[in-house]
Amino acid sequence: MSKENITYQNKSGFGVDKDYFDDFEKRILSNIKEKEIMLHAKKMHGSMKVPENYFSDVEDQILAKISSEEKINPSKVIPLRSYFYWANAAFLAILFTSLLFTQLNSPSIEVGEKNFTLSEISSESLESYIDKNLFGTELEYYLNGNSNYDFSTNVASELSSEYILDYLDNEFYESDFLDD
Amino acid sequence: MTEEQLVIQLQQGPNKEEAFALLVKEHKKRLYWHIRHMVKIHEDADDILQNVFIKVYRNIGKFKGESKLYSWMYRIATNETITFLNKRAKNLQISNEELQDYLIDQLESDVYFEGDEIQKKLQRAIATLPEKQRMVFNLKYFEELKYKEIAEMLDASVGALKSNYHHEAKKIEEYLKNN
Repeated sequence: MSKENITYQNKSGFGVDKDYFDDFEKRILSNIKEKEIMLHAKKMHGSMKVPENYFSDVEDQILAKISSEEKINPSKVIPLRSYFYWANAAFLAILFTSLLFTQLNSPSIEVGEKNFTLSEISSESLESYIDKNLFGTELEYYLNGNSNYDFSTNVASELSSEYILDYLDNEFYESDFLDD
Repeated sequence: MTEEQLVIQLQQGPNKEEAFALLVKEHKKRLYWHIRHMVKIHEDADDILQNVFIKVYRNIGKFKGESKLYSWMYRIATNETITFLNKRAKNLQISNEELQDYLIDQLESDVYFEGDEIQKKLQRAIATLPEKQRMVFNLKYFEELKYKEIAEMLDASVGALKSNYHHEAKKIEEYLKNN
């Protein structure tokens, strides 16, 4: 600010703007008016009204709503039905995936360090394996429909009488235990 | 009953409803005026207040006691009110700033408002502030909350709030001077 626009008081040397006192009253009044506006508006609760007995009524309304909600739903119920559905769905999904997996991957037979799939084994090899290992046993009886096959000579004769008695005792004991 | 005891009653006590009645009695007026200053119209404030208390009742189990109970309730009330205002602006297809003017215009026909032109002028001045500043101004000026309480409620520092409030008050003074 240039010194030309400042009026100095000779004795003290302090100065003010030349027009400082000219609009002093106007500025003071304007400030007072603003403060009054703020103070006046501060009584806003006085001008914003609520209906008569509103605060006691609203309390009753809120409590009535809560109370009716509690009556409809007194305690938190865990929806078991939905858990059951989800468990079933998960089980079916796992079952389906395993079936699909076994379909896509045929079983492999480990020979030495090499894995063979069934598709890699020739039908001749399979036939010779069956001839060597399965015929001459109970399977032959079933496959040939041989009614003369004698179990007593082929299976039962190989079991001792003590073994058979122990087995029967265990079986009867277990079935008695399960009965009411 | 202390606040901690009240919270325990509300969360697990056998007298949950009685404790809740006490809570409503204690906080209904403060929450009402907080909401009313934001939405202006009594009917809207009434709807929001009821929803706020129902939300408080349903969610009291989630209150962990990390802040004061009233701060937590104020936050619920503030969020509920802002959601309401956003919906109203969307329905009317106007901006949030235009909505503030619209709400002040509505005051003229509101039977629950007896304010004069000066009060409407102040409301218009407050409406020029951004949403968060408007809220801080309302909380400090009308509701006369302490900076510490506002800071806890809005998750802000006391220093920042003090300087913001001073800035907001200046802006409002400017508006009143020029209009």
